[in-house]
Amino acid sequence: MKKIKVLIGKPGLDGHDRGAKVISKALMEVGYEVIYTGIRRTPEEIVKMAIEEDVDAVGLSCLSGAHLDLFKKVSELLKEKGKDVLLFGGGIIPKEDIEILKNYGFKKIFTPDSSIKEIIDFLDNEFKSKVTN
Amino acid sequence: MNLNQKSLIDGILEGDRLIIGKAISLIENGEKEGFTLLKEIYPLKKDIFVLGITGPLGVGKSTFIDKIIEKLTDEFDKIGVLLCDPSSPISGGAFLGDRLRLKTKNENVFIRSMATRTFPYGISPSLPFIIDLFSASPYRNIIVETAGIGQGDVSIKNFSHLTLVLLSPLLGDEIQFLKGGLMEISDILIVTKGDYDIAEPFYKTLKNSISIFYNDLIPVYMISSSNGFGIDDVYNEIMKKRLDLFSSDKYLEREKIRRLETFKYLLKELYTKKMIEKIEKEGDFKEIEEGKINIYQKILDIIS
Repeated sequence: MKKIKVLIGKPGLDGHDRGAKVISKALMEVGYEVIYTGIRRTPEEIVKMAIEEDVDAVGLSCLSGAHLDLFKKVSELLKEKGKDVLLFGGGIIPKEDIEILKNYGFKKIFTPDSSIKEIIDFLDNEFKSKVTN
Repeated sequence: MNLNQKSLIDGILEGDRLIIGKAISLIENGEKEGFTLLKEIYPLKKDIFVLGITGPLGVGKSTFIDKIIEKLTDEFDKIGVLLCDPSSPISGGAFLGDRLRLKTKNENVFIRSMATRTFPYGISPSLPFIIDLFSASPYRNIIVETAGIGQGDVSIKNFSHLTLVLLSPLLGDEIQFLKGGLMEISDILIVTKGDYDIAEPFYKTLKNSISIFYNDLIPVYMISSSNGFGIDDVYNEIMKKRLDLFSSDKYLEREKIRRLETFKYLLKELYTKKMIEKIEKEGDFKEIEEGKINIYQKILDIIS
């Protein structure tokens, strides 16, 4: 039976991961297999994990303000390595940056006012057809 | 063999990260393509070494692997790491949180997390097949971490060449060490969290019990993964036992067990599943639920 696997990643020098943990647990509760990277990972490490774990989606969380550089780097490395994956992100992200991140390949960016349900609905909608059983 | 399969096999032989990642998924998801692939690479298998790491939840298995891996990568060119964590019995999902402890950036290490998919005994049901997959890849020195386990979860022994059992201080008295199960499958016993004062008395009790009940046949070590205490000693013991394994009949004996157990798992995983699906399709599940079928008669019909 195909399980949908999601990597929740914390790139860069950002020690705040309560949100990433809550979302990881929430996704587990609705049937996703979630791999959590832990904090302070480099884009290279995150991409290596995404490849080895053969995940269907990568969700990046960043609260440090460095999201433009870090998210872009992850997206570029994934493409370079030939890993096709759904990208989404979240954190303290100014409105004006959301479009920029979407151009980097992030399908959706969640902000502190997003509910957990919105994130689950987003993934369910993306993967509904992929789950066979 | 089609072209797609040929490129999968080549990728596995070459150690292509992307392809191995995908191949594991095919097997994990029970897809026929995955087992056809295994069939093709079975003759291409080479000698492997599987180091099983087990113990209850929170004793520090992943953190220990983080320490030992730095030493193993000095010795071996490529290392495969398989990390099992439990699935949720409620949703079927999983929170796989082992690899966050592994800080290695070494490109020669391939790490994969595996949910137990509600299979008991602390291992993923496809673990034996993934080990076979690795044996055709360059990642032939493999570390397997079980999910946190209990006293009776001994399956890892069947698939490891060396089994390390990790225990944390205050885990019990000598009565626990008299019991069958976990103690009996350990080739090396390790007391973790040695930087705490409570570790030493526990270590002494364990060591004393093992010397009496097991004639000192199982080495016992105390370590601290946070300050590095005892890690070198455990590493040297692993290498000593590994050498002993390969320079005697022991390796062959362990391989015999692994091959047969892997086949039994195949039967359980594939044959039983097929059987269940067949019976479900025939509509018997509904009748069983409603008590209209004598399940004992049914099973006697099936096995006779």
